[in-house]
Amino acid sequence: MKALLDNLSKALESRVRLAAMSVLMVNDSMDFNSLKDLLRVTDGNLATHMAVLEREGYVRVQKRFVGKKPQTTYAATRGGRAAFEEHVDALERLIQAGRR
Amino acid sequence: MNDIENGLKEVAEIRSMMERSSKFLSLSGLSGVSAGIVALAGWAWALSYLDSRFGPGTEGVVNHRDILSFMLASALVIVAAVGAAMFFSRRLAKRRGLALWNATARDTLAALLIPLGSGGLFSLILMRQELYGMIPSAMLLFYGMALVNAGKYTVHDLRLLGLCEIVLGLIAGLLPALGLWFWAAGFGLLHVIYGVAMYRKYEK
Repeated sequence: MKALLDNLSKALESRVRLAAMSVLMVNDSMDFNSLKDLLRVTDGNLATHMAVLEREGYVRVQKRFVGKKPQTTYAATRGGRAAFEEHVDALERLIQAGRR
Repeated sequence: MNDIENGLKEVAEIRSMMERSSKFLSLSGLSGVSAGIVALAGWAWALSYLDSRFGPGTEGVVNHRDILSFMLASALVIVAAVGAAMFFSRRLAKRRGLALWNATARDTLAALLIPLGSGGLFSLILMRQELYGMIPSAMLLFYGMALVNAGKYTVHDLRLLGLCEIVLGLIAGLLPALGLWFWAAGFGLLHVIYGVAMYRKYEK
């Protein structure tokens, strides 16, 4: 059992970070506010979690101005996608092992 | 097994996030029902208008006034149907805590509008060529293709509605004299049936 848990990504242990990565797996990019609406979290909470994902190299951050407002957009990196897939594979194995 | 329960919960969360963020899910079934009712009202008006102008004992030559009346009525039907659709979809989005306007709403709209705009223009061309009998067929065909196209970005069931509209449009093309009846079946009846089915499936 222990070995099965090893492949689960630490960075994706958090609900919010897992949800954010799920969104970025199926969308090329997503701006901060849309992501916040989808995940139903506060500004500060999302910013903290996204910073962790950025530090891990899972997401790429782009900041730019739309009119006078700054807009932050996130996209999954290649490494982030691989880590997410590994995490899901590990989950799959874990569930299968439990069913046997 | 706590780990397994957690794992399953995580998988459910991943699935829901992927779906919610990549599909436009606020299209309410009630939008379909209201669009269908508006279409049937338009159809009833068209039948009585045609009967009074071209029925037995009338002289029956299409003039500019007739064309203008039909264009105005079509515009009214479209505005009423779209207005009702937006009202119910906004309500549904609010109830689900989603934003009505997002990236997927934009994709859905673009997927709809390109075939729909072409169909609208093509119908005007048919009108100009005085091929009135083919207009219902063209409207059904282009609308069906618009729905099949938009089905990629919203509930998959929309594609089925689109395919039904295409089939009706093809038959209507073979039977131009019955065009209005196929129009009423496609835009009225099918919308109501689809709307009720969607409401029961997703909004109950």
